[in-house]
Amino acid sequence: MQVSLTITRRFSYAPARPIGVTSEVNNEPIFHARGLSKSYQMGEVEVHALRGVDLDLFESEFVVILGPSGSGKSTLLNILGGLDAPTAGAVRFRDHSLTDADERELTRYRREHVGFVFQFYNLIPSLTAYENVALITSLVGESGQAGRPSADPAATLSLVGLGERLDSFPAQLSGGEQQRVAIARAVAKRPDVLLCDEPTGALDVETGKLVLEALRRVNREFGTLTVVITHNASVASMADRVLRLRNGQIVGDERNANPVATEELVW
Amino acid sequence: MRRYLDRKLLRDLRKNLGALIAIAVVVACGVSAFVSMRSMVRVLSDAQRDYYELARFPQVFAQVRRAPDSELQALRALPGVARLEARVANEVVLRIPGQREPATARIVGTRPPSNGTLNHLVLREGRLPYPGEADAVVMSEGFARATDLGPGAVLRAVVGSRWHELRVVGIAVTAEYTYELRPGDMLPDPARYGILWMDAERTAAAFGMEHAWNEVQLTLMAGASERAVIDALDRRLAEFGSLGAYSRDLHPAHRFVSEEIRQNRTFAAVMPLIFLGVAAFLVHTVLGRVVSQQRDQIGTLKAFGVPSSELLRHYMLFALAPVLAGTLAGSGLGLWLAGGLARLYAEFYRFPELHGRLVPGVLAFAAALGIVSALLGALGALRRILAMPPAESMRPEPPASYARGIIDRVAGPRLRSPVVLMVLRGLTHRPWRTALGAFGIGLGAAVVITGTFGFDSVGRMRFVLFERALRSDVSVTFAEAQGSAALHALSALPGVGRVEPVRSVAVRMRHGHRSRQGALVGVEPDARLRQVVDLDARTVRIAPAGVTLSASVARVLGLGVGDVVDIEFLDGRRRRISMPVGALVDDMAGGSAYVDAAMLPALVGVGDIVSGAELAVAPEALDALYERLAASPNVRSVAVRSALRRSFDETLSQNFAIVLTMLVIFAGALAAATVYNAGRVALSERSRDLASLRVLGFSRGEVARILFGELSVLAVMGIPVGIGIGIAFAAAIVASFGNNELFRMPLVVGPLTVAAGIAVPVIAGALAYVPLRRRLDELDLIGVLKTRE
Repeated sequence: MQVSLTITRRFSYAPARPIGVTSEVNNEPIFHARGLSKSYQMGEVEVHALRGVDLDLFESEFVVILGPSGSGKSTLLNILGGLDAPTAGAVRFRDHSLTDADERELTRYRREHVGFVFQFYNLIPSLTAYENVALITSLVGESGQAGRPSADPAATLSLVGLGERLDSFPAQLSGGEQQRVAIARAVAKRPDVLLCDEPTGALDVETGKLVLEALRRVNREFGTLTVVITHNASVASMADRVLRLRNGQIVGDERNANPVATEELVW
Repeated sequence: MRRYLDRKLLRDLRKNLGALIAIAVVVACGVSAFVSMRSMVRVLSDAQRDYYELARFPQVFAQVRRAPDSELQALRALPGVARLEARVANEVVLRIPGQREPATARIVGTRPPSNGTLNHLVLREGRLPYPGEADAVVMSEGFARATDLGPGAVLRAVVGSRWHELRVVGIAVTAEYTYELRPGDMLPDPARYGILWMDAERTAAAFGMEHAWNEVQLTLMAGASERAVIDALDRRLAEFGSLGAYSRDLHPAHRFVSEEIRQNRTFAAVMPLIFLGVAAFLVHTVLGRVVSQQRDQIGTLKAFGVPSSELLRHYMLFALAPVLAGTLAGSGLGLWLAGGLARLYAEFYRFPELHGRLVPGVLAFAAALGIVSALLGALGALRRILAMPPAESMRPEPPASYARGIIDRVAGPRLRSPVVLMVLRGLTHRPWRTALGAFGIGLGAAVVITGTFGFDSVGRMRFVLFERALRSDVSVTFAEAQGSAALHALSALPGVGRVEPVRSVAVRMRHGHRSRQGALVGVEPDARLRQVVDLDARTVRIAPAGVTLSASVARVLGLGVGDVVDIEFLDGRRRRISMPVGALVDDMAGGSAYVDAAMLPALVGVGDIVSGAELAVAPEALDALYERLAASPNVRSVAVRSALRRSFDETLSQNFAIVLTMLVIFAGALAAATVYNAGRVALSERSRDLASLRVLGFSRGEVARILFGELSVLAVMGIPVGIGIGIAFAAAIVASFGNNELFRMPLVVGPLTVAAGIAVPVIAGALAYVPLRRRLDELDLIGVLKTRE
């Protein structure tokens, strides 16, 4: 992927189409999901996490998925990230079917195309900030993917404001700093999509804003499709697009004409 | 409340089944080693004690050339003597139906038992000879079993001066011959050496010893001084060619059995220490892991007011469960092994009864050992439980704090890859646990080497004995020392090529108050068929001046090179000489002193001395030669090198197969348990990291390599240390058991043994890795996104 300034495309909500599916004139969607359903047994209860979700997600979008707990947003993210498979329906990543992929292909997909940011950062405690990032960039380098040079871990850490903390171990970093290392780790390999599961869930407001700013900055600088799931509605105002989930269905898909800057967020 | 905690306990146990089984297996190994060996100590020492009492085993023994019955009265009157009996006993060459090589039998005169007689025969089959019955013999049990003979069989031998047809009328054992060893041999050869009991009068008559005897045995009065009796006996018997009286401590069969008991006692102390030490370490890590995982649960329970004592009980039971299960299984296994060992011992040591049996004290002690190891292992975790403040422990543990360390300073660019750093920092983060984990794997190697180096050492012994020291085809021992003319007679026998004399004189060596019986051997410088060879298989040069002494005798007597040893010839004339020790030789059988053959006649004070001969024989003439040797009255004993070697091999393969299997299983279990445990701990501590890596695009194989890398580093660190420990154990065993007066064992650890020491823990570790890999493949990728622990 080229490092370029984002050309964000903004479209207004179009109710004639199924919710979540937006027509793009010149752009194929990165994710193309149809009829996604997911149910699983929780003990003796069958839980329907997703019920027939249709969704297209496009390059450079900053998407916030809002929903209360149990709405199915994490399940959706897991399916998009190749960690889980739907019970019914199909998802395509560009021209690859994720629903037909096996374990090996999904691993490769995650390795080459997806960056993850977790609620609890999930850094390797025995590696420094720099090494945590390098661990992933070296992994992508090893896979021999052509034409996709990974970023220098140090430069990526500078991008998230941690240029001075390269040699710190996770235990020496605050929660916000750890999460920014996690963001740097996720984006250093220049993924096509950045999936963030409650990235501010464990952080206070000010730290959370720093983390969101880092995500926004990456999204703007690299044009990476960024999907953030959260139950914090305030975050929605910074998104290009807001999807609302309830009971496993998309109940709202809004475009934000004027996303607010992260420092203006309040919650 | 306790009811619910106990339910939790059962579920926790089930959840950690793999790790708990690993603990139980290690405990079972340690306990079974303890139970089997300690039981054998009891079984053997009880058998020895009971048997000595039942069979009235004498306390002092002496052999003479010939003494008249009239002397007995004076001997019985010696102060301290309770009961004294004399008899005639001599070796003869025996032809056994169906056996090619001649055997040597010791014919011992016996009388029907009466009140208080010594050395009762315990009949296993048939009957004793009737008083005065001619040519009726009772065979010793080992001899009978090995030759497959029994009552009704007929053996041929020249007894005295003419052929006798000896009819076997019974089979018996006696305390005197619990271990039947041909004088001069190092291992029993039961098919070619045994005891035949014959009527006392007939025996005396056959050997031309009417109204005379050549062996005397006695028991002591309570409180009598054994030393004083032995000295008095020596003084009285000197003129009859006494070989010197000796106590039970130097009685060959007694020494072998006692040595076996001592070995078992030592192993019973050492083996459980190794295994239960490892078990304690495993309990420590497994319980430590569970307590860490359940930190929040412990905090919650404390917050709800569950007393700490309940929590301690709960987790203590968790630690005790696998240890008790292992103790139980190990006790059963130990009893079974004791049965096997008893059967094995019954092949070597002839007791009226030798069975593995349940010794309650041993089982109780084993259980106590198990419980102590569980407590020691649990101590750390239990203290942590006590120290946990309720509120704080409900919060998750803070992330492990790492810092740059030794790895970062020494690691070259090749080691700078994040994955390698992850592995190495993970290991250096908890250096003690890493060291102990490596040590546990290494102990697997140590146990293999300790258990199997014996093959190498015995292999060296076999080589030294049968390829270097002894190269003749047939060894002949004369009943009476001969002159050189006897050699000419031998060289005229069928097929005999080279004949070399054996010049050996019975002596007593003294230094200060210490003394030992042995042989003074004249060594021909150009001898080819028998040479003096040291433990390293080097032919020893006899010192030109002075006497060259076996190192084992020198140690017993406290002699070094340059010291003077007093030598008394035990041939009736009691000549005494003093000689400087010219050199020491580390020979295998020990007990000898060597001089140049040319010096011997002057030292002994008689002309030529030939006590036996070594023969090189054409193979096709062997049968004819055997018959001729058996027929010659002056030949006391015939030994055939190929048969000796065969018997040596059989004894060892039978003996070692059982021990080897046991030790390989033990070592494998030890290594597998430690590898599994180390992997399980690494997996549980790092499952979140590893799952995160999987989410981030690491494949299953790549994640497995991280875990595998960690375990491999443990193995690479531990196994060389284990090999070192194994060799040290082997050296300790050689020093303790292979370095006695009966024989000396060289310390040899061959490349195959080292390879086995590496292979067993590596293979066991690879097996233990299989279930770990399965767990790794089943890592919960989704759960890790959400949960903190």
